[in-house]
Amino acid sequence: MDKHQNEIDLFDQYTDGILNKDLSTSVEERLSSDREFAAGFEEYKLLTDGIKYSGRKKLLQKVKSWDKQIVEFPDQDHSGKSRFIRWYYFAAAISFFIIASAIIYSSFKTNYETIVANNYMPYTYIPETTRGDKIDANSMENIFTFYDQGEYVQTIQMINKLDAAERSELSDYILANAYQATGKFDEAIVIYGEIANMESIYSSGSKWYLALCYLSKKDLNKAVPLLENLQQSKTSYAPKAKSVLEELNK
Amino acid sequence: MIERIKSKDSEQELREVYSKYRNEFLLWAVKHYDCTMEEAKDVFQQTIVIFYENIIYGKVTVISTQVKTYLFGIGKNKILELLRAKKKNMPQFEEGDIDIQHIFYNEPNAEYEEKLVQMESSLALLGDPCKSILEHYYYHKKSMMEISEILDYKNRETVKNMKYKCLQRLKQIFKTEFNSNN
Repeated sequence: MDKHQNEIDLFDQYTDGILNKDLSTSVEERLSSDREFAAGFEEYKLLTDGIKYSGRKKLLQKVKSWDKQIVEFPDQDHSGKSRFIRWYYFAAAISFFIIASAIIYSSFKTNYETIVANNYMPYTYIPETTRGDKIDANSMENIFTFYDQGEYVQTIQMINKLDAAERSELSDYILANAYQATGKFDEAIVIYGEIANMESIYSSGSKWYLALCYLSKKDLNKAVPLLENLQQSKTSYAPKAKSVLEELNK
Repeated sequence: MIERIKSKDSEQELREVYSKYRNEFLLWAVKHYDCTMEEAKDVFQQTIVIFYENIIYGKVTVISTQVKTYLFGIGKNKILELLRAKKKNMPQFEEGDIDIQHIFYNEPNAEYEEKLVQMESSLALLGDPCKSILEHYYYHKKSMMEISEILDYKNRETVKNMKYKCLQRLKQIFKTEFNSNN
């Protein structure tokens, strides 16, 4: 083994922190007194940092490739179902897709944006308390005032600044509405999806807005089941859902 | 888990961790911070890499908190880093946050990063098996014995000699290709 290889081994052990105290101190002394040795170490650092940099990027790319195989926010786990039932659902989904496609093509071009525009109205917040003359700048009341005035970007920023303890179903619902109103459908979908699955007074509303978000994204496969669910419900959203479904089927 | 991540099955183990906590993290990040789904996704992917590095570099030997708490702790700080960069509103660190002193690798400055990119290109020119040997040893912290098993070499001595020669070759390529810039 030549001198240079020994030096590389020494650097490996030094950077791994496995040299004993005396040897480690000796390396540090040489680094500060021996210019050639220090230059060799600098070169070694650059080489190994470059290798780590390359390894890190490669791993990150691999992690990103895993993401493409993940189902985003599945409604339920089908792992326990038999292969037959899975095929049945698959066949049903394909049939649904074909029928839906036929409907879409038969109507030449269904304009989802128009349907959403005709049916979307941001949630109207009705304050529980009478507004006083003095309103705390960071209070929910003030945030909802911005929301009522259509200041959705400001509303988003203010709600996101709140501590977890200050957040509520209502503030989340308002936040989702503000996201939807500003065209950030993915963000809105996440929050609506959560509330829709809760026992909340905003659950039906969330399903309604969720369906409209999916329509805005032209994702019929997700919008239609939500609308059908609402149509069957005994909520104020049932006639609205029925109307949208009829428009979609025209 | 730490041992499995350090072992040959590290990829499978990491992949399971990724799949298990990914959706929950995205929901949490978008709900609590002013970030988009895409930003949250990027942050979580970086978090997984940092989680892996902290384990293989021995920065964490025992995860005293749950894996989820640890991951979310890393992720939270990455989001705050992102928000700081975007000059957005930054919440204060909360009591009970996990100690992050050991979490991050040092971000290189722009000049040094340029050299790292050049070194990455040199490594690509070097090609396999050298590239794999060097990455297994210096990035994944595999021992000579483990590398000999993974890459099917006769023994650790063979790998050790190859590693040295590969490093010299990499140095040569770097000097030849980027000499004018350095």
